[in-house]
Amino acid sequence: MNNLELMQREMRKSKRRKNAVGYALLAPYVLIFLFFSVIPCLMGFVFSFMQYNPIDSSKNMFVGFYNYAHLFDFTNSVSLKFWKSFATMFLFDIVMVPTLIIIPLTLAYLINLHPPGYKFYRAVIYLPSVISVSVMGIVFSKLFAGDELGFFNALFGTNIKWLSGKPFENDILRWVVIFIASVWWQTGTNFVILSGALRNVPKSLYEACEMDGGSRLQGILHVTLPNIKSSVGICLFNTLIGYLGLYGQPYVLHAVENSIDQEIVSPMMFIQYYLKNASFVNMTGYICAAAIVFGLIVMVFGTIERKVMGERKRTDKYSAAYKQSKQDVEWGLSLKGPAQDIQSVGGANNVNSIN
Amino acid sequence: MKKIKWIALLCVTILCLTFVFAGCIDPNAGNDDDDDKVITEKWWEDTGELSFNSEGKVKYSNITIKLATVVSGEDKDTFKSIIDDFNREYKGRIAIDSEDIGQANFESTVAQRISTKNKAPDLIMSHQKGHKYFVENKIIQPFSKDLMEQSKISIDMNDYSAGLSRYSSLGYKDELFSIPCDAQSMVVFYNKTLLEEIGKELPTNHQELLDVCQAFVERKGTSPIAWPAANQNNHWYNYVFTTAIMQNGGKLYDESTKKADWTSEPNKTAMTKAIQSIRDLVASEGVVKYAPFNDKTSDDSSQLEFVDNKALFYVYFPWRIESLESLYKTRNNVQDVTDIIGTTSVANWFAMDSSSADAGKIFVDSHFFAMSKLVTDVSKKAAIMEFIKWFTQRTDVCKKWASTGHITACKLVGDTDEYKNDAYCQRYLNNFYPDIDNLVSMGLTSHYNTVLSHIKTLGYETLSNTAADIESKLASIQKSFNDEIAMNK
Repeated sequence: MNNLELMQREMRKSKRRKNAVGYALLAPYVLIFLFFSVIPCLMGFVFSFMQYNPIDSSKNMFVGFYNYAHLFDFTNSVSLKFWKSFATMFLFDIVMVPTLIIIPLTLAYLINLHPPGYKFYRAVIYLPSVISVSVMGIVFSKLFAGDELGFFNALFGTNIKWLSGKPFENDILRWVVIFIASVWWQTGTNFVILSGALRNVPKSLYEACEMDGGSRLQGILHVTLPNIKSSVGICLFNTLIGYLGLYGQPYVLHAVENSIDQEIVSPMMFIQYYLKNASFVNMTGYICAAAIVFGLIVMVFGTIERKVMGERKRTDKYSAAYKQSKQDVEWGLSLKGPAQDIQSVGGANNVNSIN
Repeated sequence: MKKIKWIALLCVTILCLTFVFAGCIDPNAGNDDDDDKVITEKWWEDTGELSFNSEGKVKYSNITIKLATVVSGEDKDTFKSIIDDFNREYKGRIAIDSEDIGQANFESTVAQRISTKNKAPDLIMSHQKGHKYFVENKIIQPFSKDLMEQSKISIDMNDYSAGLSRYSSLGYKDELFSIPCDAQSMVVFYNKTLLEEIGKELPTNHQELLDVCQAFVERKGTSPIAWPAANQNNHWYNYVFTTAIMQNGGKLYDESTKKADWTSEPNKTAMTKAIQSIRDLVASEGVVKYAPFNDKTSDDSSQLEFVDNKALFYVYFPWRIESLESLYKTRNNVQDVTDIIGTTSVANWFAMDSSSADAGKIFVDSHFFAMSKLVTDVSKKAAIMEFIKWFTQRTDVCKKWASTGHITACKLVGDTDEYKNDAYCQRYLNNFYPDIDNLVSMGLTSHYNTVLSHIKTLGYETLSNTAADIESKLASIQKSFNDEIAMNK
């Protein structure tokens, strides 16, 4: 065996060792993902084509698209509950998702200006995010309790039934409370991501914009937003997916659950309602079909969001010019094209700083 | 390559067609809820043989019975004490190992444990309403008549309340799947002093109840009835509203189809009367302003209304007696409440026609015993029957269990002077449940969740909003009920 072969064998060994470490580190996640996500998902997919009874297997049978056909039978009250709950959740998401981008972004921008005591405010904004949904529910249900003991009712001497009502009938106040609670509770998460993104926007770009005669608003539009776009995309994706699976907030923020309609206000709640109850055991296949359809809808929304955010990968003209000029310098080309553009917008100082 | 594509296309087409045609299959076709079924194939086994002692009684040798019970509330300690009594009495022969599981997850937990044979109980003590679900999913087995004969441990359903024992077959002809133990429902506590003050007697029918309440409001200005909170739990709907339906001759569901039949006569009139009877009391123009759907109501606040002498009646579960009396003593600084707190039942409270045979009915939950399908050894089966007989037919045990508000389902005990003359039964239970044969439970449906959730919806929609049209609500909620049943068959 010559030296080359020995070296090759050693390299292969070393590569195997590296791979083994990688696999070992990956293994816990892969196993958990496999057993708690992939396998249940596949099983749910199979069950959706069956009348499936997990307690008495003698009742199990293949029914093809029967469950799916029923899910799209809009005359059926059970299926109607699913679609109504979807509509309720969707309407809420339309308002909630943009709000949870705009408010954290505004706060992050203001904090990023470093006003006096900004560190304190930064902590205050983030703090609600660390508590659980149950704690948030307790806090807000006490604030908005429907009797005179509720904080706001006591404060204003009113007796408003904040948390009562049925979907699409008289529950607007309940959704307002859920909205306020969600903003209070979840602003912090997006705020941290967007704050980080804002800090990473090169100051030179703002200076370039300023020297170019750009106003602060133009700076936000042409420098800030294009540079934090990927972070906004991440926040948007997480918020959208999270709110499509809306469950915790309406679950903890209700005064009365006097009817099934009040109990089921999102597809996740619909699925939970029928799955948790032993007596609906023969509906398991149907619920799996509902879960699959709901999962597909979430995937479609996710894909659309990624497409929309991904296709418009325009960068601001300052960073585009910066990248181009850097490339030009690296290749030893003369200052032409975009670099000239830099000179025209940023002046010689910028070019010097690139060099 | 082209050939493979064609084969793939063919496979996909066949698969799609299979799915589409299979989609036309109705899995519910032929799947009925017949209540006169015959067991054609046993899903349980019998192993071993019985051995007898010199007295001809079954000889038990260290048999441990795992009991899963739904008893987990204020009555839990008494239940535990009864089990301890049994274990002492049968030491070295039979031991009961009891575990309580909350009602909310009882059926799913027990069914899962038995089907997976993991921590499975041998014996189940739970509400009758869940037992049809157990048998339809082949979770439990019947108590064999042959074994009863062999072991000489006979449990005859004629010895039990007719209203409850009629469900013991769970819809299987000549079988005994489920044995009634007791019954409990919402009962009424009243303030004797306040009643005297307004110069009225205890109401014996709906009109008298309205008169008493009206007189109380005029004299005291406070709400006469303190209800359990409908917004905290389902108790008010599950017991009070259902009782109103029963007393007016209504049926929660059709016994043959298991579906709601609320829009055809005579059930439609009965349901309408039941709703009206409650509206008379709690609606805006009614006399009871402290409605159970009021956000202000809570179980504790309604109890305080009573102990602070603001309410004449307090409707709650019987096992609250002790804490209620103790709280009354403390808040009113009295030593004895015998002459202050009286007890009565909701019988006749909601019947619009007091002469009707249904007027005295009370909707109850009833604990029944059932045996897991996993028990195979006949000695263990006999031991289980021995325990059930001991628990349900021994007067001293039934008296002890009655002290937590559970009236015995066994007439052999209920008819004895010892039981009837027991101080507790005399003062409380005989008033709470005047006629054991008038106690009605959920019956034979494996869809009790559907029944109760829709009854709750109906109650809320028609009672919290008195302007709601009863007929249209009955029709729309019935459709939702029936669609759910059809999906869940």
